[in-house]
Amino acid sequence: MSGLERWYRRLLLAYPRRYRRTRGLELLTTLLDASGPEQRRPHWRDAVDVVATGLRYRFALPGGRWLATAVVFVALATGALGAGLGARLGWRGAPDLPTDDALSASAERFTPGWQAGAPDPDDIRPFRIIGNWLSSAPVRMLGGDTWRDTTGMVISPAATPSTAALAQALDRLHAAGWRTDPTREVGEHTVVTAHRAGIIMVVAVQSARGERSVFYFVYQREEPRPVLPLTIAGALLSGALGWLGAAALLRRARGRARGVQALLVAVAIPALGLLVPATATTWLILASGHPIDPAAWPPPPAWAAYVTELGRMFTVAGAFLALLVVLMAAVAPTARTYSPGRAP
Amino acid sequence: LTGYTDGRYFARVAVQEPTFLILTALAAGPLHGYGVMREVEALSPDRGRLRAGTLYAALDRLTEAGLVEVDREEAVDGRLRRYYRLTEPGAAALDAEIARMRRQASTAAARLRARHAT
Repeated sequence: MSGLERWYRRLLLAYPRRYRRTRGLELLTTLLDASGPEQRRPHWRDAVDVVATGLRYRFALPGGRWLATAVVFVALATGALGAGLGARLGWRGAPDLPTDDALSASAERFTPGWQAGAPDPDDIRPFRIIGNWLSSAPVRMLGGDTWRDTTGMVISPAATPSTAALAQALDRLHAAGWRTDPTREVGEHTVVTAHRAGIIMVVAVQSARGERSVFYFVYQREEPRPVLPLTIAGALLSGALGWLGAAALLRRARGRARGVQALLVAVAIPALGLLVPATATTWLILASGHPIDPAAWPPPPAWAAYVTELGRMFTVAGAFLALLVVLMAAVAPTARTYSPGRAP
Repeated sequence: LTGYTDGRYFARVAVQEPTFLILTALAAGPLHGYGVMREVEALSPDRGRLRAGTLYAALDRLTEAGLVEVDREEAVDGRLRRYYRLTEPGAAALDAEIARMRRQASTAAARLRARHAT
């Protein structure tokens, strides 16, 4: 085998295996026929053409609207999972959020005239924040919140009116090394965002009865820079792999007996159905953005849908059935005739 | 491109220039892949060479549409050569495309004549 032939054989790996079985030798012959007598390596234009066309065959959607929809959904489901994994990886570089006790202590420290235990001890506690209405509704339906490592909040009553109280609070924040953004009005709240060492603290103050005010301290970890690129890369890479895998599976399923195909469809439908909640939730979270604003609480991280009890249970069950479909397509007997697939 | 010949419809195929040239190359008789490439180059030397990947994607589409079919296979020096030929619907499709191009060319020529006359 000549060096040129080896090069062409490597390039032909861009095509799906089934296509190579039916067309590979013929394509190789044509490529070698078209090459020059002294040629040692493929011309770059031939290389690009072969690889691009081969990939188009790999990504080609199978015939039929329902099959095409299934491939697109698989790409969305794997893309959502990849986005979650990418985001998780990106957030690993973020500092830990202060503990519940530390949050309570700093709320006490920054609230002017803080009154211990007033008006109710239960009002002075850190608690978890759920995302804005768009992302929180499906998350709540899926079993609630389990990402208290990303956001904390303390409600703290102050003994002074809101304007004076906020000025004092800002002095205390600056003295403690916090950098603050300009103050702004959001509904009934006066809001300021403070930053220090990778932690964001949104301070909102609201007037209360009897010349008093109530402070809300929302703590978050500042999103590390790699989160967005890793989330996008995870979504694109996993989505592409899911698309390729689903298209390859359907090409393989085409060669199976009709009874096997019916069985594959019967298992694939519930598998895809079980993946819908986590997939839809993740894309809703990704679409809702990251507004740092008490009027629209920041959305949960991209992996949130997979850590809720129902989301996790559905995803694991869906993934198990999807694996079953892959195994069945791999080992099931082949029908007597089959088509190698559609041209892209 | 849709058509009706020999009592059956043939599939819709977008006749872009490479497709038209491939159908034209096969009009004279069966050719293998490299033969089609050479013929297309001779028919349209200005457009550059038809690449193998593009050629086989087009042949797949045309085969799927029933415009082209495998004529025979040959093994020469251990290499597989598959010859393709134009089917009747393929010939009809090429005929229809030629008529369409003639109409367009006539219209364009008439408008140019009118421009020169004014």
